[in-house]
This record gives sequence, C-alpha cells and structure tokens, in this order.
Amino acid sequence: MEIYFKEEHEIFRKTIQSFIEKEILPLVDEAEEKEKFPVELFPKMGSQGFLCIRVPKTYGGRDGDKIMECIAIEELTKGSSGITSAFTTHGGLATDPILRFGSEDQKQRYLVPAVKGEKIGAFGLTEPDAGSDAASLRATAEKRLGGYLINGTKTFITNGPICHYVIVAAYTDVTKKGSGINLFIVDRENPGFSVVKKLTKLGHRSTETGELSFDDCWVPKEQMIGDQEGGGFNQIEYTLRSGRISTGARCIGLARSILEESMYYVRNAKKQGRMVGRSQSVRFSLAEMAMYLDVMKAITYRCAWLYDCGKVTMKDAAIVKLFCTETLCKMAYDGLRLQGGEAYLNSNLMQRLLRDSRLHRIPEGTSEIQHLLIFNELGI
Amino acid sequence: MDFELSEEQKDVKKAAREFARGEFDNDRASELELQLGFPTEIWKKACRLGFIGIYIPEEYGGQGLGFLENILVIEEFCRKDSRIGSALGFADLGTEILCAYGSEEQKKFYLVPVVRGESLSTVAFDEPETLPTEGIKHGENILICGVKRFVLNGGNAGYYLVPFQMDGRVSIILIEKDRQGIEFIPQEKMGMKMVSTGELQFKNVSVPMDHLIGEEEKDFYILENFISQTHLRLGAQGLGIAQGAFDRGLDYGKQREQFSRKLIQFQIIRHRLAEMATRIEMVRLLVYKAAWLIDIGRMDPKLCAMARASSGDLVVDVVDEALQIFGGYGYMRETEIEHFYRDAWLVDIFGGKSNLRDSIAKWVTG
Repeated sequence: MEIYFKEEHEIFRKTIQSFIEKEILPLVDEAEEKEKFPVELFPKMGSQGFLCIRVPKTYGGRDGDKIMECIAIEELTKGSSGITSAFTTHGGLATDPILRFGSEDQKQRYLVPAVKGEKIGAFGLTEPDAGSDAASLRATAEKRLGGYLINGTKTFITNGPICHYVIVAAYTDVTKKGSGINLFIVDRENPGFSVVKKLTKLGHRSTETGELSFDDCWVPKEQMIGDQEGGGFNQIEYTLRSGRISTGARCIGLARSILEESMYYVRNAKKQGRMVGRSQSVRFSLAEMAMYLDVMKAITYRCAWLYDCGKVTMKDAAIVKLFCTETLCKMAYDGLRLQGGEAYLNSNLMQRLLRDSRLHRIPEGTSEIQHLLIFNELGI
Repeated sequence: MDFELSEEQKDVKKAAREFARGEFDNDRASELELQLGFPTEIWKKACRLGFIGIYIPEEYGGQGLGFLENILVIEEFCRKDSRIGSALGFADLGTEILCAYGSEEQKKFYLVPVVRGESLSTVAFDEPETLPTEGIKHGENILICGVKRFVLNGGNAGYYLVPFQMDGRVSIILIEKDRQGIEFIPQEKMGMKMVSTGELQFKNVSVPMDHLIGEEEKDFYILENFISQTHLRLGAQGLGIAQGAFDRGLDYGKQREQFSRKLIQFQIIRHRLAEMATRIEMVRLLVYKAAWLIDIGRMDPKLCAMARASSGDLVVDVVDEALQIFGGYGYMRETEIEHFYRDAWLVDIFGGKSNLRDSIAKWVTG
C-alpha cells in the first residue's frame, strides 16, 4: 500500500483519526441504539474539511484525491460504519454529480454549503420496483411551466429523513429506456416532496434511511443536472463507479475492526484451561482474516490510484466492490464463529460488525450485478 | 430401512404447521420482540394442545410421544416464525433429564407445570472458566455457589437444573427460581430475543438433598445425553429457520421482477435455490435420524453433534442467500427475513462452533 500513500496522506490519516476519536466515537452507541444520526457532526466534519474530500478549493473543498477520500472513509468506518454511511452518501452520490456535471449556480447553491456541512445531501435512484434493474425506474419528470413536474417514489434512501436536498433520477422521456433519464436537485421544502417513512434496518442503525415521495413536485429547470434532456444514466454510472471504490474502503474499515476484535479475544480468552490462541483452527482463522484484509487494501487503493490517474474502468471498480464485500462477510462470519455465544450478546461489538458488514453486498449494485459488470468488460 | 414418518408423526407435523399458521402473527411478534417479551398466550395454547413436552409420559400430562415428534414440532414452529418458534422450542428445556432420571416425586412436581403452561424449565449449564459452581453439604441441604452464563429462559423459568461440583464430581440439582440467594442478570442478544437469556448467580442457595437428580454413577450420562438432546433441539431450530428462510426467498423470487424477468428465472438464483433445497434435505435426514435413534434407545452423541453442526452451517448459509434474494428489502426490519438472519446465528455459535467440531473430531478419529 505504501506505494500509493504520500506523506500528505499519512498526515491526513492521523488528523482524521484523532477527530474520530474525539468527536465521533463517544456518540456511536447512543446513535445506534436510538437509530438517530447525530446531525451535529455534519458542520463539525465540514469545518475540518472532511466532507466531500475531492471538491476543489474554489468551492471550499480540500482538493484531495480519491486515495485521500478512501483513507477518510476507511478510518470513519473503523469508528462506525453506520455513521459513515451518511458521509459517504453525502460526499459521493449526493455531491459528485453536481461537482462533475452541475452548473456553476448549482455548485454555489449546493456544493459550497454541502462541503461546509450546512446542507445534507441524499441520492434517490432505487425505487420499490427498480433495484438492480435501475433503468426500469418509474419516476417521471414532465416538462411543465418552464420547469419539471416530478412524480415517483424512491426507497432505501440514505440520509432521506435528514437531508436538505436530494438528487433524484427520473425519466424526462419515458420512451427512451435508460437514456431518457435525468438527475434533478430537489429541496426538502419543495412542495410535493415528502419523507414517507424512516426505515429500520438489520444494521447501520445510526444511519437514517427512508422512503421518499415526489407527488406533483415542481422544480424550475435550473434544478436539472446537465443542460439537455437525457444522459442522466451516464452521470449515475460515473457516480457509482467512484462509489464502488469507496465501498472497498468501507469494507477495509470494518475488516480492521473484525480482525482487531478477534485478536483481542484470542489474546485474552481461555477454554478448558488453555489459551484459545493455542487452537490451530483459531490460528488458521486469524491468518485468513489477515490475508483477506491485506488483499482488500491492495486492490482498493490500487483502484483509487487508477481513479486519480483517470484510468479506472467499471470493471476495476466492480472487482473491488465484489471482492471486498464478499470477503468482508466471510470475515464477519468467521469472527462470530471464533467467539461463539459471546459474540451474540449486544455488549459484544462483533454482532454489530456482522450486521453492518452484511449490508455492503446489496447497495450500489448487488454482488450479482458486479459479476455482470466484470463479465461485460472481459470482451467475450 | 424405512425413511417414512409414521402416520402419527405426520399428523403431529401437520398439526404443528397448522397451529403455527393459525396462531403466529408476524406484526404482534415484531412488537413483542422489540419489548423482549415471551409469547405467553401462544405458549399456553401450545401447551393445551400438547405441543410442549410432547415426549413427556402421559401420567405426567405429556403426550408420551418421542423426541422425534418434538423435533418435528420445533421445526414447524421455527419455519413459521424463528422468534416464536425458538421461544416455544426451548419452553421445556431440561425436562428430558427429569423424564429419564428424575424421581417419581420430582416428575410429578416439576413436569406437570411445564406441560400445563404454568412454568418454563431450563438447564443452567455454561459457566465461566474460572468460576465452577460448587456445592457444600449442610445438614439435610446443599449450599450452591457459583455463576452460570447464557442461561436460556433464565429470566422466566420456574426452575433451573444446575450441574455443580461436589466432592470432586459433577452432580445435578433442581433449584426453584424463588429460593433465597439467586440473582438473574439479563443479557441482551442480537436475536432470539423472545428467549430471556442471561447470567444466573447463586450465592449460598440452600437446596434440599431430595432435589438432586439421578443416581450418582449415572451423572456423566445425564449430562452427555442432555447435551446431545440440546444439539438436536438447536438442530431442529436451524432446520426450521432454514426452511422458513428458503420458503420466503422462493416466494419472493417468484414475485419479484427485474430486467423483465422473475428472479427465479435467472440461472444463478435457480442454482442457489436448488443447492439450498438439497442441503436442507441432507440436514433433515441427519436430524431425523439422530432423533429416531434416541427414540429406539440407541442415542448416538456423535450423530447428534453432527446434526447440530451441519444444521448451524446450513442455517447461516440459507438465511444469507435468502436475504440476498430479497436485496435491500432483506436488510429492512419490516421484512421477516431480517429476524430469521439474526436468529439463525444462535443455532450456529451457541456453545462454540470450535468446541462442537472438536468433539465430533474426537469420535471420528477415535
């Protein structure tokens, strides 16, 4: 990994680590239990320049690279995967399209406050009947009175219940499957927008996830991302490609916690008068975890580096997401089995790590979708 | 060789399935789970219909059926709802010890309330490495001191069967919950939340000598048999939870459409369902065989442990795959598969997976 990290990266890692320790860790347990995201973290993160790492200085950002963003995500996830969900969505899906494809006006109105943590963003693509098959989404944006009338329902939306704005995908031309999609920025107070419900989940309980409804929700045409109708799907793909590398970094954070918890247990636990660490199967299990973690780091940071060089493909990003999320689950399962019944108690961090780890094989393209993406680029 | 369940066993299985369908309500169960409550009403009904303590002899209020019938009931209950199913599946935990080794008096006093739905039973087995539970003779009584962990039904059992050390050997004693010096400290878990679980502390708890179970020379077998039967209880839970998760995954796969096709029309999904179904069938054979051997008086501890271990592997894999079929919905608590996922893990790791493999290895390698 060392080949990808410069000194500024190492310094950054230390800076964010001490911030997490002081500002985030004390809030984690309560946020998980009450299933409530501590929103006060947004301006705190923003004032340190930890949100939207890759935004240029002209918009108040840090002008960091993908490697630096991955470092932030890895460390934040190590602290709390639930809380980190809010930040990765905000700094990735909810700002990337504006940064890359948005107008200057949109950047001033949304990106600048998002970087400061004054506005919280969300991203609405998935619908009750459109998951893996994103192009089958049903939301529509009908041209009306110099703007667009948006109708539809979006679900599993991270930050939905706490967001100030959401970037929503809708068809401007329903006759063009896939290519007739556009992205729109919708403000929370926009008439016709509502949070239908907050969803409770297996894990990531400190993240707020919701179902959003757009009911004759009219927005001026300035809210559309990009100048012309259509082409939104490419913007989404661009955004997801970056997000899949970020997922790798999230897996690294969780994997580090799992290995750490397992090592702590093995160092201290005894069974039938014998240190658990003397068991050969335990040793093999730990060795495997260490191996997985190493490979996860190697492919994720390599891919982040490729991204920074402008050479990354969807296949590279899909490989990172598929390998890291699947491997992470294996590690969590082994970690639970290592500790036995002990790990089943709420007082034990392992059960939360399991519940959190299980998520990543699903969003932003399930493992099954990643297989398809990789195959598609093999050239057969 | 005869792989057929008897007519009576088929009826039991069918009756259990119908009872679960009629009585287990998902919404109410979800509320109860949040409050960490026990499904008292359903349990009392199950008792009235004879599902709890089904293997207890008729003279003590039971049905006088076999352990396999118990397995069939647990499987069907867990298949419908992993939370309620597990809670009912443990309701009579330890009564198999009393049936086999209890005195006439003990059976009358302690089996009947369990069958009638007046009391839950349990065995307080697991203890911290450094703190073995010990007993000291004190006149006509024994004073019990120690700590037991992960006691299932710990918070609401009417009595506990407690293994302890005395005079250099292990004995088992029955302790009623209201005796002086007992404290229960609940421990919250990731799943199986309807089964009250926690630590039991015994501080000089005075128990009459006539509460000892069994004759001294048999005590080793009592524990070994109990562990084997518990493996099968858990094995049946795993089997039921796996079957229930499979059912739901299959149903969802038939409804859900993506890319203009039902999920079950995708080859990868079809193959996964095929493999799940195959493995469920394999584990069912193993669990049933091990239970059948108990009923014909040839309990095989190795087979019981194998049944449990394979059921644990199975249930974790099946709930995982089923959740994946549900995609984002599977991760949401409003979808049943979410609690199946949490509940499944207890079957796999309770008592330690490595310990289980160690004991199987001992039998296998001789």
